[in-house]
Amino acid sequence: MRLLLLFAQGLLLLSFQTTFFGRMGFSAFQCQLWLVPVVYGALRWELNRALVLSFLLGYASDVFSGGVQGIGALSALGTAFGAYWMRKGLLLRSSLQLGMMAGPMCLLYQAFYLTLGYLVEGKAWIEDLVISRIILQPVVLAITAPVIVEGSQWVEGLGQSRFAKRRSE
Amino acid sequence: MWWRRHPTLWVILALVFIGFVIISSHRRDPGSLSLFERMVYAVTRPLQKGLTQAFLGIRDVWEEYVALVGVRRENKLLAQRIRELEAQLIQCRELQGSMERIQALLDFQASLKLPTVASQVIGEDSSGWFRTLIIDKGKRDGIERGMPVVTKEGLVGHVMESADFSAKVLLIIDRNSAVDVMLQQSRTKGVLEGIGRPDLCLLKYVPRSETVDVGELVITSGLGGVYPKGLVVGKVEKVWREGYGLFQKVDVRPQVDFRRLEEVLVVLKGEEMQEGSKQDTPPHKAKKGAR
Repeated sequence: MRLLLLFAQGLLLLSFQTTFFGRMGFSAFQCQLWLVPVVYGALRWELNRALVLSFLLGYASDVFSGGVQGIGALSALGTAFGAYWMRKGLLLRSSLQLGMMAGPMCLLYQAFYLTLGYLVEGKAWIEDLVISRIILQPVVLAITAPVIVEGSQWVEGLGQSRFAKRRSE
Repeated sequence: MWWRRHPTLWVILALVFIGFVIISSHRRDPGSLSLFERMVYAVTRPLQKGLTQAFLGIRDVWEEYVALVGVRRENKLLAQRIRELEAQLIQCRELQGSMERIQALLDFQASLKLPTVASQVIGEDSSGWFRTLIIDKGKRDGIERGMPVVTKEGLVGHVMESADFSAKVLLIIDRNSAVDVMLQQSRTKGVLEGIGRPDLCLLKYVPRSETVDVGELVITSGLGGVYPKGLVVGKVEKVWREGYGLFQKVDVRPQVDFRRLEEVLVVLKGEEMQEGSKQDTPPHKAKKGAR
């Protein structure tokens, strides 16, 4: 249930990202909003569930991308795996702390995406790796992510409370 | 057994395997859509459409109200009295603007003499690496992979994937796009390739011996069967003639403003065009074939 709800939140963020950001004319700010639930899942859940969520959302982002389908799914999988291993030793309690992790994870995702893109397509898009992708997008994502994490927590709580109600009945 | 003690390893292996199966199947048949992809399109279409409408509404309010904050402060009393009228005026302007755009699109549709479907742009590329659009018409409206997409200004691109109710369009400014074109006056042929910039494309394989004038119109040549002949693509911006080599390179500014695309026309292929396109490679590999 939690997985489905977070997946739905990711789809909503993906829709927002592909409509508002592009039309606002700030392509530099077109950061991967859907990555926040992926990072949230990896930092809060057990690994298996987090990996499935990351794969599904990554695949969903592929649907709206002009690239080869599957690259985003595998990149998101790698990112979730990385986030899961990084959480050890980190004190991640508040939404701010959880959200801030989305910034570096955005960089990790871009690195996976570039590498897989090069392996599959044989083309290096490194020429597109402008300063906005390296600095601006992770920073913007780190700033906006705490709000999205609040949403994720609310959505997750929604699933849990309904599940708990059903169990009590 | 050790493998029973590591279920996570199996999950990872399964997901990685599925990932590579997806990549492999997409490489083999780029236009085909899996059940999951169809589901994502179906679920997100109303979201994207609603968000796009909301954005257009907010943009209009921003342009019509917020930009006038300074003036309004000076004319507080007047502004309060006319606010209602202004709101109505905004709605009328939006309607008028829509009507004008649709009328222009219909005029162009009539002049094309080809069967077309009008469609609204509801989304853009999610990755930022490519130049693609999502439109709100799909297979149910007769839209298939490889169909050209145009506006009254000129060529936009072609359909690279079609779901039931939406489709993905590869723009001519994408790095993977290549269009067989010719210069209108000199009739010199070349290949127009995207470079990822919304305001510039590169015309390649123009022989050095040909004279290319700045400002000359670039139109589709009709070769390859993907794009009908004679569609306006752009204008020559700059000519690069190196000291050596067989060809010269030409910068072309597309006629279409890709940053403000709202409505497009998808040209439904006639029999002649379909016969031509069957011989082409899939549009995903456009750089190598779909011209």
